[in-house]
Amino acid sequence: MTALSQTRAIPATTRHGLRDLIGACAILAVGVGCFFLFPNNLSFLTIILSISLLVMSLDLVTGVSGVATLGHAFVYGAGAYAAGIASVNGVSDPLLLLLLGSLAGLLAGVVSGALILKGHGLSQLVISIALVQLASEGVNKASFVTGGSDGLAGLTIDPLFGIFEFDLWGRTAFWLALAVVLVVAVLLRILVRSPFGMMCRGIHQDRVRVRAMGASVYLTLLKMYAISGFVGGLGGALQAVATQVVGLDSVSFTTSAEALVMLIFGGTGHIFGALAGTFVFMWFEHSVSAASPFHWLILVGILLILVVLFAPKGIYGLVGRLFQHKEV
Amino acid sequence: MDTLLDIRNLKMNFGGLKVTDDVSLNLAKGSRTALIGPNGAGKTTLINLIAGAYRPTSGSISLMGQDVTGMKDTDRVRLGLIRSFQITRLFPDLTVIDHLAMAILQREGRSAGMFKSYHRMPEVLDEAMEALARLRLDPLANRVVAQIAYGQQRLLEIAIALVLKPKVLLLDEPAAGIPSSDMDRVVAALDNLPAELAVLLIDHDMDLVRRFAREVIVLSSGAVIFRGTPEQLGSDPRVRSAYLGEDA
Repeated sequence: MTALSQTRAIPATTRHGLRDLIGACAILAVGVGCFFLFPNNLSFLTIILSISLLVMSLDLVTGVSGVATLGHAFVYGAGAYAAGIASVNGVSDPLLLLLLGSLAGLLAGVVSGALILKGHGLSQLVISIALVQLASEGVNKASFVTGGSDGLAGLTIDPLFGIFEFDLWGRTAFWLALAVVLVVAVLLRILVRSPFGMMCRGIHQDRVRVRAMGASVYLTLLKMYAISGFVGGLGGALQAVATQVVGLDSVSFTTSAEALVMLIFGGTGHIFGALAGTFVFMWFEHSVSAASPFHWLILVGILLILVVLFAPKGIYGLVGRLFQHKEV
Repeated sequence: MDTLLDIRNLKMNFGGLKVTDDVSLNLAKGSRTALIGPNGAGKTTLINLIAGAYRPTSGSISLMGQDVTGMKDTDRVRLGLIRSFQITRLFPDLTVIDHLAMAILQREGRSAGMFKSYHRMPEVLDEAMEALARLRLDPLANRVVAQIAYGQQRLLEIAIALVLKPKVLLLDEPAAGIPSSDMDRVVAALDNLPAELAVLLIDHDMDLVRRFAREVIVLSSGAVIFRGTPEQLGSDPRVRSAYLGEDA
């Protein structure tokens, strides 16, 4: 039967590998292109990259695993504040700060996952909103550690690898963010296709069938939440390291809701869709708010309605459909 | 000890309604038992109780001598109690072979793997393809489940149940929705089940029941009203009454 497995399965792996390679090359090409085309916007691009980690992390729990949440900034904020607090208390190595932020995100992921996964559907949404609101208020009240509504500012970050200074133009931060996003995106694609990722996709589609195979839905999703928290926390820490400021907005309901909008915009369940959605949405928002400071929200709203009506599977789905037509 | 599944005085009430009424039955190694009864007799409820989807009001369920009455459904699966569903429960966006690979990896405790896709596990692929070939589903291996016919989805359910290597198999209307042209595949699949496997089959197709079962249990209003061979079934007045009414 080995021949069977060879004839049927290898094309699938090749196809997946090719998609990952194309995706990674596209990220790299867009990143390098942006670096040269928009040298004055590198800080903004770095924020896009850090937010894209939040959106990819949200994709793991919502797009892949089908858990409804409007409070995912909880893990992002945990990462940002962990890195920020560590930095003002003397930790200045950027990679160590990223690690601390990721671990804080992982912890926040486990805590929020343990609570949110007890609910279903609307109750999950309510729990997630309550969690992020509580976290936001907690951070606000604990001003002796977090800086409260003023946030944490003046973070001191050492040069990357002791060589590359975090300069005013944001070049080092941008390359660091691009490298992190590239590695994370490829790893998450591998994760989604792995047996564990496949089980999570199965839970999204029919959890009764998954249980009938003997798998624990709760534990599987909790693990996914932990991984998602790690990635989201990494995003938060990356923003703290890049901007050297941590504010209350990093752990807000608004950030959570925007992340969900970006995910839907890009297409759920494919990781690369989350990345594309973040980039296009934030860039569009940035451009129209500069061009039309009083009416930009109307334009953003119209764009969202158009996407939902004409590309319900988001940018990723739209691109996939175009390629299919081409193949036909 | 040959008894694999032993159910004693099982009762289940939904509010004031008795849906399972003092049911006792046991399945020995290699048994082929059919569970039949009119619509609403409580057949699927009984399967749900045995599988662990519902908790009984009273009574006990033992699996290979171990009391599993309070055990979670997933733990029962790990002990070898596998079920199929009356209404197909599959993952519409996954391929046919994805389903088999998931079941195999779960059975082997490898479903938590995070790096290697099953496409790079030849032993998993081979087993999955063999299981599909047995039901002549192998040409559909890479098709998404939403794109295959309902009858083929029913066969896939059987294939999933089999790769989980059950000791006791609960089949809830496996032939429902399968066109007559594909029935021979279901019959062949049932004929070729491992000899030592204990099977409890629910079906309304009496030809299939007669062909498959060595013992038939008839449920009516949640209670067992008949237990015997398929040959004794037609002449039993209680069965005739349950199916055709008191005047029959």
